[in-house]
Amino acid sequence: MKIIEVSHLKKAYDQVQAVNDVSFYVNEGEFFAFLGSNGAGKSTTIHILCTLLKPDDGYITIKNYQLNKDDTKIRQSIGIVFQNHVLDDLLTVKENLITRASLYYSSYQEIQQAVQNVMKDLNIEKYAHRLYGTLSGGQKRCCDIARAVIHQPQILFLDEPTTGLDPQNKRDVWEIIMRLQKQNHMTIFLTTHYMEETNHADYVVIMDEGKIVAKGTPLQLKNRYTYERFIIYTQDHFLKDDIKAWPYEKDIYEDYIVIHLHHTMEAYQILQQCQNKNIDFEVIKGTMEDVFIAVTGKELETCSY
Amino acid sequence: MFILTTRVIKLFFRDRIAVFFSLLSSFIIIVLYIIFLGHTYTSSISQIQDTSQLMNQWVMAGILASSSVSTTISTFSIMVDDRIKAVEKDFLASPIHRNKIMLSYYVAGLLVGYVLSLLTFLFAQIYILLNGGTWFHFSTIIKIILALVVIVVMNGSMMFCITSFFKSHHAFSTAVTLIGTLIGFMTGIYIPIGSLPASLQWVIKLFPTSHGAVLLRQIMMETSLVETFQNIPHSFLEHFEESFGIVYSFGQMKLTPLFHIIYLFIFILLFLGIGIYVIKRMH
Repeated sequence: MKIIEVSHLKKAYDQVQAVNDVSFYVNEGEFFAFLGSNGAGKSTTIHILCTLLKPDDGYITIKNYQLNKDDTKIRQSIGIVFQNHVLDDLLTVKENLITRASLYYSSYQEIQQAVQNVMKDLNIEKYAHRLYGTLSGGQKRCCDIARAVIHQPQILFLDEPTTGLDPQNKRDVWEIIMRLQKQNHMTIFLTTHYMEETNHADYVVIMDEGKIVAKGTPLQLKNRYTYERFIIYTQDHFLKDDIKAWPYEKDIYEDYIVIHLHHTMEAYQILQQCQNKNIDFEVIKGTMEDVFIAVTGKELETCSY
Repeated sequence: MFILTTRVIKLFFRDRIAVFFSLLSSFIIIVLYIIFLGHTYTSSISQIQDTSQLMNQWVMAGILASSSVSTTISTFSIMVDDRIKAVEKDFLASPIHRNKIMLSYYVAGLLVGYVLSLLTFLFAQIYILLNGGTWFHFSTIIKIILALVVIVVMNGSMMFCITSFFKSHHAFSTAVTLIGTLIGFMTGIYIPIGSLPASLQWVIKLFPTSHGAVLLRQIMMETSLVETFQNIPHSFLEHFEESFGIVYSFGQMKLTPLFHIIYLFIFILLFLGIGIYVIKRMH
């Protein structure tokens, strides 16, 4: 079932067409990734979907509510983890969460209950009474997520949520997000320029200069836009000479040779040809970075996740 | 909305440096008054004896009328911070009505302004007592507390309106500095209004905060004026009241306390209307 549907979305800033006739949909419970370099139109799209920006043209429904008509109902259904920390440094974690819960609940009992539940769920009770400004980057991110899900939204928007985090914190943040998604059957809408973060997505849309340039599952995109590589690590010059004659596209380096495969089974044939030779090898599937470069001709930032 | 208002108040009072700077313009006036302004004022009316209580009350009335300008704008700086740090987006993407968000800043600013004005009044009373003066009558205290409500709401509305235009820290800080510097002149505290050229007197008389100062001077100095000027020709009292901005007159018409209150109310509505309009357009 479609939970977000975007048709012919357009948005321009003066002469710049930030989003140009974009259409896509997101299924309920899906992990949907929106990939693009800075200025591709991701943030504009996410701001429009979150009711923070009015589109110039297009038709959008979220949970069957029409954008610009049922905005209050849409806001009730979504949670957002912004790229920047938006909680108050001079308030404690609990005070911050109480403040934000009051945006959704009217009775003090409901607010207290929501805060208790989310703190327990995300295991942040231990620093509930610490000032938010004194927390580490990773702890702050956990609190940001707690704030975003305090009202148990059906859709969670993540606007480059791991920017500036170290690899361990990135992993922790993703663990929490994935757990919440499973637990609450939440739809995740991720915008990122870290390509490897989209590996676990159910569906990926790549934007470039305001337009969608590719969409599909990570596997579909990799199969469509990238090639697999068979890498042979060897110092054997005789073998290198043999390989030069093989009918594959290849790059030969000092310590290793990269052979471009058309399909995975070709690796088996190559292995048979290397029998009784002293080699190390690996078969690498195309990455999302390869996909991105193939469809946009641009390079993106990578991350260690 | 109560929790959002509490948030702004907590953020203001937890930033001790911001609290200090919001009261700085009042401290500066007091220091200047103690160092030389007090002497200048009393020497300008040296023909009259025992004017120290009168002049202390005069300067404290001016400080009270203007202190809520800097305290409210400091509170509203949180609104600018929220806009810059995208905290505002976090609020706007939630189902709460946008007017409630706006109102939370406004109410918080007024509450902070009023509480700090009451503390300033307490300080003023202590200062007057320490300098050989007397307690205000109970009825005077009640009048001051009530007048402060209107004055704080007017100053707060004016600052809310000004703050609504700003989207950057630098521009806002510059405006705050400028306002802090000008407010002493615009309420006729640094230089009594009678010592200024006629054109400037007009500007000050149109400036709403100065009407708050006039109102407070009339309330706070009521008894002292009678006592100090009891054996002195009435024309001398009238001249003193005009020169020191205790009474405003346009031509032959002297403005009454009721006029000042109505004038303040008109500006409350005007500033609040502009502020709300600007913020709504921004959203």
